[in-house]
Amino acid sequence: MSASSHRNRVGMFSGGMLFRYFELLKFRVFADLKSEASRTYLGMLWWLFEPLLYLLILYFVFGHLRGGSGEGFAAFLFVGLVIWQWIRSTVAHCADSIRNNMHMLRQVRLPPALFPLIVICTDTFKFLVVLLILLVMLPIMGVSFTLQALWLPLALLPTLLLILGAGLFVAALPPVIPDVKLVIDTVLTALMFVSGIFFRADSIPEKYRWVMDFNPVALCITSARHVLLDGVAPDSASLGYVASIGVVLGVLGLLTIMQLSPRYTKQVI
Amino acid sequence: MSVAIGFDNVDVSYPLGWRFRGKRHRALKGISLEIRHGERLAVLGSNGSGKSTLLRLIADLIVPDAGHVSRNHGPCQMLNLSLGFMPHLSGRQNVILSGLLQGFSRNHIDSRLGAVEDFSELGDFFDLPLRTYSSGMRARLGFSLAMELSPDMLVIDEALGVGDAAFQEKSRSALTDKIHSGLTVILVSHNEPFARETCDRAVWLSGGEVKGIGSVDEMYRKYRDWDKSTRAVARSASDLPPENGKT
Repeated sequence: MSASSHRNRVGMFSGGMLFRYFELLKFRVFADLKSEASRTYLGMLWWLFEPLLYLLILYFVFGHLRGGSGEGFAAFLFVGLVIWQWIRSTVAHCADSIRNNMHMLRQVRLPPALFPLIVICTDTFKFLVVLLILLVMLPIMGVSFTLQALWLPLALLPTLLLILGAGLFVAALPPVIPDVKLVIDTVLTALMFVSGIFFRADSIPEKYRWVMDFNPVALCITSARHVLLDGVAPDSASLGYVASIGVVLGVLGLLTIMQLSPRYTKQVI
Repeated sequence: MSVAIGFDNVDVSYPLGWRFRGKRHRALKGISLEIRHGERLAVLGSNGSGKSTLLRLIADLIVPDAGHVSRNHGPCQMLNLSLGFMPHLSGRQNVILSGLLQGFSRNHIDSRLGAVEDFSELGDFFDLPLRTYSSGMRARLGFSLAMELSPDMLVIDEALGVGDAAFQEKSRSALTDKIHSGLTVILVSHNEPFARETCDRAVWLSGGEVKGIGSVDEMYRKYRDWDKSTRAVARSASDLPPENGKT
């Protein structure tokens, strides 16, 4: 590639362009949310109903059917599942994001990293709606928030960074190696079982405790439970650890995307 | 006229499978070509000759595998009548989305929205979801958008003239005006009269190589002669009596 053509590509990230990509990102997020709402009769109400129904089923099953665990367990499960769903759905969607938009990249010059970012914004918006429901439901279920609950935004920030990093990381390869998508799905399934959504860290044998201690998803869930259920401030070491994993994954992901972007437009699917 | 894009011995190949170092198809083989500011260049050649690859290279959508490209031009965009359109968005929102995708700022798009609305003659439909449009209306929206929001360099690889007879007339003349407004235009058209009247130079591609560059008339004549002769060869080959036992 010649020097000037190279300058052109780097120019994709200059100030003016960056602002345009931001405008595009904003509008695409709005457009995607609107499209999704237009697909059903009740539209946006489903963003409320779907998680609400889901949580009600869990409440019924674990709060009543499974007598022993008690209502405390239902709240414990709610928080775990809401955080897990946010991570899982966003990362899974990101893995498809560039691949699903290859036709677009063949017609117009865009930074491919834009597509996972769009997905992260739309899914995070939907998560915020679910979070709102959670915050209303928990007191109804008998949980009383303490002042420590004000830590919530800070406790969720590293999770957002983790999602951002992991999302960029998983988006890079599927367009050129579709098999990676299957690996990502398997890893996500495995993570669901080792992230303490259904059990407490102290309920697993001592020698396997590291699975939870070093698993960033488990730490994200634990932080959220600390501030919402236990009335404890989040552990700053684990927040820092999660955030740095997010940053490392994000940088790796961005570098891979930039490296592979010439291949994206040439790959014949 | 100064050079807008120069290609020097450029190769483009596409991977045929998933393997990183697997077989590739060489779509362009050592192309050298200069496109000057404000010129109107026709690209001709049969299917699979590399026309679309050349256009995508010009629009900077793909990176050459070998050779040298030098650029000295502003925004360049392939004319696309439905870039990024989403069925649940209104015509207006689709114009904004498509404009943003093509790299225009929101301010610029907003300032052209009225003109797009007028040109498209969609009336109330402009604010209705795209899924309610007929295919002709959709094409009209896309065409109006392309006419009102345009880059410095226009790359055209599509059937021209959209909609019903009246709109077709209007779109044809709008495109002709646009083409003659000093833009650099690269056109792939199987419509020979249109290419003749709009372009001032032509490049003929065959099998990924430049067969000739020159006046539009000359290139079309050579291309037709060549096409006729290769077809004749193909026909005479298929006219041969079948071999024994292979019917």
